Amino acid sequence: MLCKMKIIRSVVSTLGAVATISSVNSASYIWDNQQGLVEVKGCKVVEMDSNPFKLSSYTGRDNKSVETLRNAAKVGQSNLPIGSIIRHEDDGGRSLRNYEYIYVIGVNYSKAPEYNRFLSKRNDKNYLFHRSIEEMDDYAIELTKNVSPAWSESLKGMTLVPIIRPTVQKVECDHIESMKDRDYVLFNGYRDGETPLAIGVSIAETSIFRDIKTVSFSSLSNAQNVLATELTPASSNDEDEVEVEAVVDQVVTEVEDEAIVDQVVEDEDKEEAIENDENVNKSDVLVGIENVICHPTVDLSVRNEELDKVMFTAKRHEPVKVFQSWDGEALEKQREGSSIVYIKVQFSNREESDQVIGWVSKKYVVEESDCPELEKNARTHPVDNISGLDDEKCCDFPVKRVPTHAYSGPGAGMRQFRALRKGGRLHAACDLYRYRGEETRAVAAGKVIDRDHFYQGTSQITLKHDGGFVVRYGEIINNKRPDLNLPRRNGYRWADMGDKIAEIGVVNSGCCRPMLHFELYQGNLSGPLTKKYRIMRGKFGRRDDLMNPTSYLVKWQNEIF
Amino acid sequence: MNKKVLVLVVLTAAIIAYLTLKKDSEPLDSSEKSTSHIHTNKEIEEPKQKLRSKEEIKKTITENKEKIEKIEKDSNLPTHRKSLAKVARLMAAPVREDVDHKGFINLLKETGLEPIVRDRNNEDLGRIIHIRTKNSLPGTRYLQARFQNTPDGQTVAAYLTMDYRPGEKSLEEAHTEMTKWFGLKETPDVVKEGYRLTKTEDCHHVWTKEMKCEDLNNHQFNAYDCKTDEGTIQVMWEEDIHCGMNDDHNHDAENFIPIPEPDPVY
Repeated sequence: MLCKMKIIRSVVSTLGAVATISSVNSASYIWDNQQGLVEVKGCKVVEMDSNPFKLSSYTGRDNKSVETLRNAAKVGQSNLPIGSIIRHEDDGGRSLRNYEYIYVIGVNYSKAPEYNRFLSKRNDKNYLFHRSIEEMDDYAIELTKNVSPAWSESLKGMTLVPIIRPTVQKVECDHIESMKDRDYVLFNGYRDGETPLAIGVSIAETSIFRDIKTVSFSSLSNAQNVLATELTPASSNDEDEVEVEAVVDQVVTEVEDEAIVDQVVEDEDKEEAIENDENVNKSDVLVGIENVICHPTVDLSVRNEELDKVMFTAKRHEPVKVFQSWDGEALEKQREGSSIVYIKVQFSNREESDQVIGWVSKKYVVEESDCPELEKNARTHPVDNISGLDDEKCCDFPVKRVPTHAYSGPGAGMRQFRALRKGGRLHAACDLYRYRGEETRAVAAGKVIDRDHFYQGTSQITLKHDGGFVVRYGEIINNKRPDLNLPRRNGYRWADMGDKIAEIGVVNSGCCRPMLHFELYQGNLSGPLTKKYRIMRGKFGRRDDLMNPTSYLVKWQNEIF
Repeated sequence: MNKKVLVLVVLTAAIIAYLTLKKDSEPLDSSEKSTSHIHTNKEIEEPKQKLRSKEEIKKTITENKEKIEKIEKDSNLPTHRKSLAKVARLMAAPVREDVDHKGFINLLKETGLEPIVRDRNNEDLGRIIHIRTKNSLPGTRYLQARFQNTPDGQTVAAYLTMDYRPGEKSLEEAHTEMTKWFGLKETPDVVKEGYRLTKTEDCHHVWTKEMKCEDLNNHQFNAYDCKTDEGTIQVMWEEDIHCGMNDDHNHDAENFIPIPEPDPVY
């Protein structure tokens, strides 16, 4: 039955793909994480060896709806619902026999019983049993929730079906700078009552699959409609169609080159116009510590080293780091005939690793707190508030699973609170040993009041939680910033209980295992959490409202695990 | 004999009184009482660090100024080495010359650097001042400091960091300059390939690290390009959170065998 279905699917897709080729010049799109669906013209549709998007399944005797993702030590880390979209990821040569290192693109939450702390999340990277990876050819992907507020209406409820003829198809748009050297897997996008769209998705930019439901092609409730839609525009002669396509492509490519030039000029005109707008603050913009793109109207162009090409665009409020030069000169330049000053920046929190470094107008790189529009993204909060540490709803455990080493009682050694340090200083935290890269969770709802360097190449994030208590989560990875996805309100980012706020790091001397350094404060005082005592004998070297977190951690741990 | 017993009793009473007072003076909440299993298995060591007098600090300031003038005039010293010495002096100034954030900003300006200051008053954490520079001295970049307030209204450095250009001898050059300007002991406490760490007596340390691509991509504030920046030397002075952890805390670091765990369940 399955074999028959595959044959039918293959024939249908062959015809469907031809139809798509014939329509590719009028309405085909590629997915861009910053811009959403971008219409493209003059692109070629060619066959691919295999589809880089894969689906997860389960291997075993029981018919489980989830498969276990494991770390390099084969320790189970999370549950990945079957039908989740994944891709292979480079693990730096640390291969694990019978396992593939994978990156989770979209989690098929429809297969998960209900949300729980062990479910895998988008962006997770771990090992999956090699037999639990399958092709997505016989499946369709429904876009269930909001892909992004800006594009939710145009995509919500759409079903994407990969085009296979007889192998998977891709879109090549080498004449467009941002699409060079990329393969865009071609999908047909269907929604009831609407003309299907041809949509190319690259494995470098996949946020279109943020919230998905995977269904088998045969079980699609509107499968007949899908088939009919695919069949309707089909030509009777494949070869004729391809010839026509080739000619049309050539013509459109030439036109497209001009169109790109026009577009670039148009972008520059917009930027110049904004520069000259009297409503824009003309004071010299001092780039701050944590910067974002803060552009008032359109997405900002990101240029190449010579400034003569727009390589990609940056969306408003996108975090950005500013380069300094080794020669002591400010790393700034102007393009001939333009008054815009450009600076070199890095977008280090992007999924698309080939669109990270470029030059942008200096004017629109500002300190995050100076970009008030960010706060428009805020959600109503708090949603799961507690009255304090003794509230019965308090709290979540800050790491995913039980720490691998004791942090209280016999054997806890230097990991426990009050353990003696050199010079007589006492340990002000509980060290929760887990694995590098594992999530750190907000123990309760609260606002982020600090995020900065902490110790030996690791960072800390400090939250003031509902009920007023403060937690400093230390020894986290510097540049893994799930906190940047938290909504903003009144100048702060806000987390809910259990939100991922960081990832566990490891100090660069190699002295210690990866751990979460957990410090707890009553929160009734103001001032720095670390005191700079000259002599710290018999002291914690911390603010006076420091609390012993041990009994709380033990309580939360016992309640959850 | 009686005298010896008497002395012993007095000494014991004094130790008990001291320990009781010490515990009472620590402002912990009631949850502390539920953790009677916490042990400290070492005698408290006498701190070796001595407070430096105002005269000593003044002398250091004068000497440092003279040293910098001399370095500036040294025509045999390459520009990047001069920059390294100047920035090392700047980094050490809050520690050795006792400068607050204002003094630090003034020193930056005197050195030809244009400070960027983010001075914010956080209702929970007090005043937090981040200082970076708009420009850099040739061969160095990304000088950054964080200052925080003290109960008496002063500001003190929380951490100081900078980058030094990649080069065959760069790690040793950076380490040597930091040792000189911070007044560190000659032998580092941790020596690994591409890494040096020297502890101070007041639970701080200075580390110097040759950055690989993975390190460069794992920085919260600085922009890097692995194609050109691999081998960059990063230097940092900061508090040693795990100060004293060189024995029973670390025994499992190298030969860690994970505790078997069941697969996660839902």
